[in-house]
Amino acid sequence: MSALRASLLKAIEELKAEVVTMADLVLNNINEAFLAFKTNNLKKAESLMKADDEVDQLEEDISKSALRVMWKEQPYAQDLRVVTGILKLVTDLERIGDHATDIAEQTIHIGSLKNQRLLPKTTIMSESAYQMVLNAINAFVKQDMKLAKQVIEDDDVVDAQFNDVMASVTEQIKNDSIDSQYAVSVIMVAKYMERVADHAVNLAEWTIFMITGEHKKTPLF
Amino acid sequence: MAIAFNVENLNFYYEDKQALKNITMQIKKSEITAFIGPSGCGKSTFIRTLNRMNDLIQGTRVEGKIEYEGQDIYDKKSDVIDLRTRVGMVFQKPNPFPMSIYDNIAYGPRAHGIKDKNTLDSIVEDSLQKAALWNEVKDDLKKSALALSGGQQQRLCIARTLALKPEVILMDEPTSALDPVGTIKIEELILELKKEYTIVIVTHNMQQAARISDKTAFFYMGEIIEFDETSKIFTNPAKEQTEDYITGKFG
Amino acid sequence: MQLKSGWLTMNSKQKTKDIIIRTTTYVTSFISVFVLASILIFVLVEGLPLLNFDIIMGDHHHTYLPGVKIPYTATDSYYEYTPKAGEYYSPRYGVAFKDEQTLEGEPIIELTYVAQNSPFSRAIGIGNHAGEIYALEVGQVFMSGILLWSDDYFTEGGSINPDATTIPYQVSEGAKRFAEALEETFYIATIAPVILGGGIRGSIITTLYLIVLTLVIALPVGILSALYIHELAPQNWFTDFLRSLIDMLTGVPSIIYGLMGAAFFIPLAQSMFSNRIDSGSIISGAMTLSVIVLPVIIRSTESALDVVPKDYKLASLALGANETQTIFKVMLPNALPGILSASLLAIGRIMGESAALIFAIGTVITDDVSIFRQGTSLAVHIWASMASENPNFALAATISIILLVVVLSINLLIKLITYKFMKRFR
Repeated sequence: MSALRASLLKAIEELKAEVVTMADLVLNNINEAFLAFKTNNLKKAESLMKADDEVDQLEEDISKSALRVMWKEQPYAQDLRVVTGILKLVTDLERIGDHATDIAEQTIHIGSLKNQRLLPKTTIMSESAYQMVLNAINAFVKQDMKLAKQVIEDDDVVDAQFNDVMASVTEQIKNDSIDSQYAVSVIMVAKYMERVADHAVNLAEWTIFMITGEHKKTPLF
Repeated sequence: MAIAFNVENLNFYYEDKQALKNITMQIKKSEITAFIGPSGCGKSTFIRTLNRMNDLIQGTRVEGKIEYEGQDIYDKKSDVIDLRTRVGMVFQKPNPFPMSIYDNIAYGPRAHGIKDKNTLDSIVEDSLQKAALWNEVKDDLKKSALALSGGQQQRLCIARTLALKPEVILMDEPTSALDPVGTIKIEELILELKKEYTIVIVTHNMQQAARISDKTAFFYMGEIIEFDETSKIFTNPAKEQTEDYITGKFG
Repeated sequence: MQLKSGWLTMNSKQKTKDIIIRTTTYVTSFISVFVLASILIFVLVEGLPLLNFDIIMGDHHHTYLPGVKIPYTATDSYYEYTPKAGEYYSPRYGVAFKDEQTLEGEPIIELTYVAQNSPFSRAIGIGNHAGEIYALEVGQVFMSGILLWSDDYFTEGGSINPDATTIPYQVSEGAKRFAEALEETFYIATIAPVILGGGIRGSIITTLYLIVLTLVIALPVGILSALYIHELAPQNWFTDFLRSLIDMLTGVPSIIYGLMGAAFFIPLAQSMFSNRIDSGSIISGAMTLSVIVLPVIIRSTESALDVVPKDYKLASLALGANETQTIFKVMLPNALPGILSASLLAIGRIMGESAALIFAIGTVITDDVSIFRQGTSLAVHIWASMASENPNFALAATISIILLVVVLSINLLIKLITYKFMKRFR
């Protein structure tokens, strides 16, 4: 069947592809950041510092493409929701990319210090956060409402994990069983991980907007 | 990129009334150039000067220069028949002749002396293919053109123009008389045709200009207010008047 | 009733005025319809009885067949036949006749029956046609010249008696007397059968020639002139003036064109075909008629061209066709229905023309029609039959019926074409 408005359809497909490219890069970066922190890999952490430039560039490119579709093709209905949703979504993706750099920075500060009690907690938290971002991106690609809702629910888990890390650090400070430099850095890293999870929730919420036109249960039209 | 039309200081008059003031612009080849502007702004008058269709109206006067491929088209020695063969035109209201589909398309070639049936057959098929109409009509080319729908008739008119293998296609509001689906089909066709032809289109539908054109000229009261890349005109025009028109503050 | 207030008085004045106007309208309409109906009825009543195939196809002038003699008949010859009412029968010769009249009112005898072996079917020619055998036929008439010889025709020796007596008989004595006389006749020395004329075939053919010839002249000239004025001429005051002139010409009394025909076209035709024309001719008539119908054709063609959508012209020119191609391949074909309509209107006009043709051709009714000679159209024939010494209402009415039928058919045809023409552009 010959497609009407082929140029519009093509533009949107290309836009989605660009988002996937950026998402892949961001996933890769946070995965590397979590790994570098877990294994005290300073070299990896160094290389991640510059990686964010590419992410920022992609955000700009995608914004440009999305705006071009807006003025050129005057999209409506689903097309409009997808394009505007993407415009919002990429800012959250870009923030996740930023946090990867932030975590890498802290990893450098920590150097070769370790804390055996906290490591399993932060590891489990990083895995949860990563999974949430992955699910959110898949939910976008597949326009999967169920998966998006699950991401939103999973945030409670990460929040709980964050509280657990905080409780453990607090206790260790009281007991003076933690290096103060390490304590400051690990709190920040945990916070960054929690923020990553929050941004994943944002990704999911904008995906739900693309499907339903509602953002956080509020109709935007 | 090469230049199709070079217009310098064009002034155009209907009797005493000046319809075009000091128009200077260049239309590039293999691009789609759109003319937008409110009713009566001169865009249709201007497009008709490009193939000298205004000659048919009594009392019109042209001052200034229009060159097509370097030749002044209003020069006394220039051949207007040749010009109209190389610069085709599609009108707002589809106007197929009350003849069969075949005869409509063959009209142009026949008027230029082509009689051989095989040649005409292949010209007809080729033109209908290019106009994305072949599959819909190939089973009965003898059917009257007037029996086609509005959108099909307009594509037939485009095919009729293509039969002469023009270099430029001028379109004066080609989708104004069509329904939305017909309009979109013509727009898709125009985007296809861009590969081989230079296209100039007058449209009162700004969104259409945004969708399909590479360059846009904004006309107002017989003058070109702004002529630039379509992306600039629609996102950040230089002139306030352009901005006001695009945003709908007047028109 | 006493009307008190002024307002009430106005009302009843208005009412009376209303009634007067209404009544006048009804009465005058009734008179119009009555008059029209009377004319129609008069024509039908007078003309219908005379209307038959013979009149349409027959010659105007009587055809005088060769005089014949009818051989000696034995006294005991007898043919069976029951004469119908009005017929008078001669058993001796096996022929029956009835009384008739020419269109001028002269008494004649019409042959209504000829028995199979009747001597009338074996008549012998005399004079130039001596020896030839002719059969007298039903429908032929006798106007004069009957010579009957009685029974002492042969002598006893069998030779012709030079003193034989004739039976005196004249056609004016009637059919009954003729039948009686025949019973005593042994030998009809001369009898001259005549095929009665009064037919209008010649005029019908003349009318057709006139129509064809006029259209052949007027259509090309008219159509091309209209094309020029409408398409090629610059649309300025002069062209408008030209159009007004043409419109004015339709109002000129056609008798003036007739005078022009007599003064100009008759000599013109004569000089063009110098050896073949020596007075008025159908050619000069056609030329005159062309001038009369030209304005009609020009204006109708222009109207037809007006209705052709301008879009077609624009499309054609934008495709690189030149003006001539556009006019002849697009404008004209689409104006054809209108032009056809104009032709039919012209035909109607031609058929109705009388005064102009009386001058432009002449008034000689002919049976042998040629475009180089005079002839009468049906309308002129009506004039001729009424203008002679014995005005023949009946014949005039008959021709009128034919004319009316043709004109009505043309009008219906025009309506049909116009309807189909309109459908095409909807």
